[in-house]
This record gives sequence, structure tokens and C-alpha cells, in this order.
Amino acid sequence: MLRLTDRLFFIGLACAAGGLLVHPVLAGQFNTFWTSHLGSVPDSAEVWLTRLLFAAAAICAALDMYGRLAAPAGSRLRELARDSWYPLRTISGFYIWLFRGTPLLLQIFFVYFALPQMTNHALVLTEFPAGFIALSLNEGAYMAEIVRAGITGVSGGQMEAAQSLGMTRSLAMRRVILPQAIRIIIPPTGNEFISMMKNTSLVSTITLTDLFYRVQLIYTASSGIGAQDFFNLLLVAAVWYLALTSAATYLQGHIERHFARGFSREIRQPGTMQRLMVGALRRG
Amino acid sequence: MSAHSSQPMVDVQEVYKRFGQLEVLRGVSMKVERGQTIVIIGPSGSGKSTLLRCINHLETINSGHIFVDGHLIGYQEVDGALKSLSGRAVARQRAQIGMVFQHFNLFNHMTALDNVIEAPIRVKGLSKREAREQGLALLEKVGLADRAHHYPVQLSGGQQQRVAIARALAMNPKVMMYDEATSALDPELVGGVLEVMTELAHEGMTGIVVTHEMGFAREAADDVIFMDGGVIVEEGKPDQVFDRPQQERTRAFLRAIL
Repeated sequence: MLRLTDRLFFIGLACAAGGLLVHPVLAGQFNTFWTSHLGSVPDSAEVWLTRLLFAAAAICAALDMYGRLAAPAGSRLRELARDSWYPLRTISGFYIWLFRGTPLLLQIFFVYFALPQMTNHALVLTEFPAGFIALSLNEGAYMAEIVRAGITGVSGGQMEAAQSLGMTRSLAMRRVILPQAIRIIIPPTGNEFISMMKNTSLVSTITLTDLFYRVQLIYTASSGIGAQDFFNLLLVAAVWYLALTSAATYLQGHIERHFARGFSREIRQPGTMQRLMVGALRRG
Repeated sequence: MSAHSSQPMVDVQEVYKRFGQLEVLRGVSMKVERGQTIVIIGPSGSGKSTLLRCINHLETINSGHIFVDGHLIGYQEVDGALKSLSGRAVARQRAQIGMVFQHFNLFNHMTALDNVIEAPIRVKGLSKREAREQGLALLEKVGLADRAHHYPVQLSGGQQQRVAIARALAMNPKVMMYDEATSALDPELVGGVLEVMTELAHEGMTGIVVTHEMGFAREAADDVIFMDGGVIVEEGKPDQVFDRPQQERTRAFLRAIL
């Protein structure tokens, strides 16, 4: 039996894999565009590979983190008085407070520049892991709050009914509360996902080359480039952003419909995508 | 601690329950014998729902004892002192006490059948096949075999409540508790639910029923308890309580609702 978070993790992974498959084709197209307009474009494929991986991996990590930290924290908020496991509550509360309350840029700098110095260079992270960790930690904090809101949004009677049938709190959480909370969680998560995709541009500050940074590099590297060309470059970047966010939106729609079951009176035949996902989920 | 067939199924002794300053139960004691159905009536705020919720430990009591089938609910006695049971142990106790809620509380993301088989599979460890067979039989019993694959939102209130009863029965509880099970229903849907409850009572299921349905109380109850202000005011056979109430408060209440 896969945990819900693990299922989401695999869905995220599948998206990343899909992105990687599509990527060379798209990259080829845009490279042609770029080349015809602006001359050769160095290593844009790798840049995009990195970027997609970033987006997918960070959201996976965030979801996973929510499973391990945020969801327990959220469920525990409701029974503060009764709960005896104080350490977890404190740790997750501190984590959310810290990472939601400080700028992402600061967190990236901290992980990349400050950690090595603090640990006397015992812990040195290269650009990618550093960016990955900082983005994940930041995202996890926001996800935690979203998940908490989702859990609170499920009627208290559901937990009581589950408990009255002899389910423990954790079993009820997994089988009854979370599957219903997901429905509430998905829309703001889609939001977060998209905003995080764009936030990845901040990693350019630790010399990871992202899309927008790339545009600037090309612009400054090309002598005699005109205003029209710069406009075109920005358009290319915008199209890329839109391609990614559209894919995310499309996927979000499917997930939303899947978890809406039981909340709409109409009896629908599941679509192909849904059947695939339901099959994968049910078997888990 | 072995269960005697002579001891009552539910034994509530001197139970007090406070919510902050508000004393909701002020020394309630009652016994429910095996196979008996007790109906609890009383004005809103009299503590009857709270009493039910204390019996399966959805609320913790401030003092007193509650035994179900001889087992102390929610606590164990260690060296003469009461210690709270673990969440897991409390869950095991609850599994033997069926509860039906005013607002059904069916799991919205599951079909009627999935609602019924969820706990038998996850809590009792029944195989999916056994649970399905039993679940379909129970849905048949409450007259909803043809609705097994409907989601709660696709069912009427009365149908949802009957699914909820089937869901509770699927755990083979020792006692069934109904917390105003028909209060949220449209009048024409009440009958079907009461029918199921009456049938269960006649089959010998031990039951504690909080209700305003006096017809049901007359037909199915062995005893009627009238509660007001957190205490039991009057207790007796249905015809005695309804036709010859001894207490003025009981008379006033009956006048108001009949």
C-alpha cells in the first residue's frame, strides 16, 4: 500500500520524465529559432534539462516533505491539547516559521555560501544540490500551510465517524481525511507549483544558468544586437515559461477531476488519463 | 477480565463531564442490559448526545466510570489509579461500539459499499472478498443493495443514514448508539430509517437511542430515560414515562413536544 504522498511523488516523477522526453524536440525547435535569429546558442539544451529537473524535483521534494513534516503537523494542530508528541510539533512549526518568513534568495545564498563557511568546508554543496535544497525547503514550508488548510477543510464529523469505527487517528487520516483534503489542496498547490517554476530564476545568483539568465547572457554576449532581437529573445523565454506552466495547469485539471469523485452528483465515465491514474492509485 | 452474560452490556457510573465552565453531565448513571434498547429523550442541551459520545470515548469524562461489556472505556486501572489507554487500545474498544450520527458522516469519497467495507478490511483485517460479501448483505438488509456503487452525494438523506447504519453493523458491534439519527431527515424519509432501527432492536441488538421519535420509543424501547440539565430526571417503561410521568419537568417536556 503506497502512501498518498508517495503516489503524488510518482505522479510528479512521471511528469518530469514526460518533460524530459518532450524536451529535446522543443529545444531543437527553439534552438533553430535562436540560431536563425541570433547565431549559435551554447548549451541551451542542458540548461533546459536542468530547469525541468529543477521544477519537477523540487515539487516532488516539497510533496514528500509535506508527507513527512507538514501533514503530521497539520493533523496535530487540531488536538494540540491531547497530543503528547511535542517534538514534532515544535520542529515543524519552527521550520514553517523560518522558511516562510525569510526571502528565498537569502535561503539560496545561505545554503550555497554560508553552509560551507559555517561547517569549516566540511559541507560544500555544488550549485545544483544547493539550489535544489533551498528551493525544496522553501516550497515545503508553503506546502505545509496549504496542506494544513486542506485538512482543516474536511468536516470534523469525518474523523469522528472513522474513529467510531475503530480506526486509529493515523489510519483515519490516511484513508479518510487526506483523500478528501487533496481536493482542497490541489488548486493552491497548482498555484505554488507555477510560482515556484518562476522562482527557479533566482538560482542564477549562484551561477546556475536558468532561462531568463540565459536570455541576458545571449544579449550581452552578442555585439550589435538590436532592440527587435531582444524583444524576440524575451518572447522565446515567455513561450517557454508558458509551455511549462500550461503543462502544469493541464495536469492539475486531471488530478482535480480525479479527486472530485464523490463530490459531484453526475455519474461520469472516467477519461483515459483518469483511468490510468485511478488504476495506478488503486493498485497501490 | 472476562465478560459475564449476567452483567449489563453498558454500565455508566456517576459520570461527570465539563466543557470549560459548563457542566454538561452531572453524575449520570445508567445500565443497559444485553439485548435491550434504551431511548434517551430530553430537551436540547440536556447532555444526551454528550453521554453517547462519552460512551465511545469521543469525549473524555472528568470523573466516573463507563463499562461496555465489562471493560472500562478509555482507561485501565494500574495500582488503583486510572491511566489513559493508548490511542490504539481506545480504537479497539470503539470498534465494538457502533455509532450513527445525526449528519450521517459517510465518507464522501467512497461509494456506499466502500463505506461499509472500509473498517472491516482496515481495522478487523477481513479479506476484501469476505468484507464485500458481508457488506452487500448488510446493504441488502437496509434495503440499499441497488445503491452499493453510489456515492453519498447521490443518495437521499434517508439512504445515507441507512448506509451509515450498515457501516456501523459491519463491525459486529456489541451495542449500537444512535445520536438523533433521524433529526436531519425530511419527514418522509424518517420512516425507512426507524424501520431498520426497530428491526435491529427486535433482533436483539443492544441499543442506545437518542431521539425525538416518540412512536419509535413506544414500539422499540425497553426503557425510556428523560434527561434534563445533565442529570437523569426520570426513567421507566415507555408507557409509564409517556402516559404517567412522575416528574413535573418530564410532563412539561412531553407537553411541549407532543
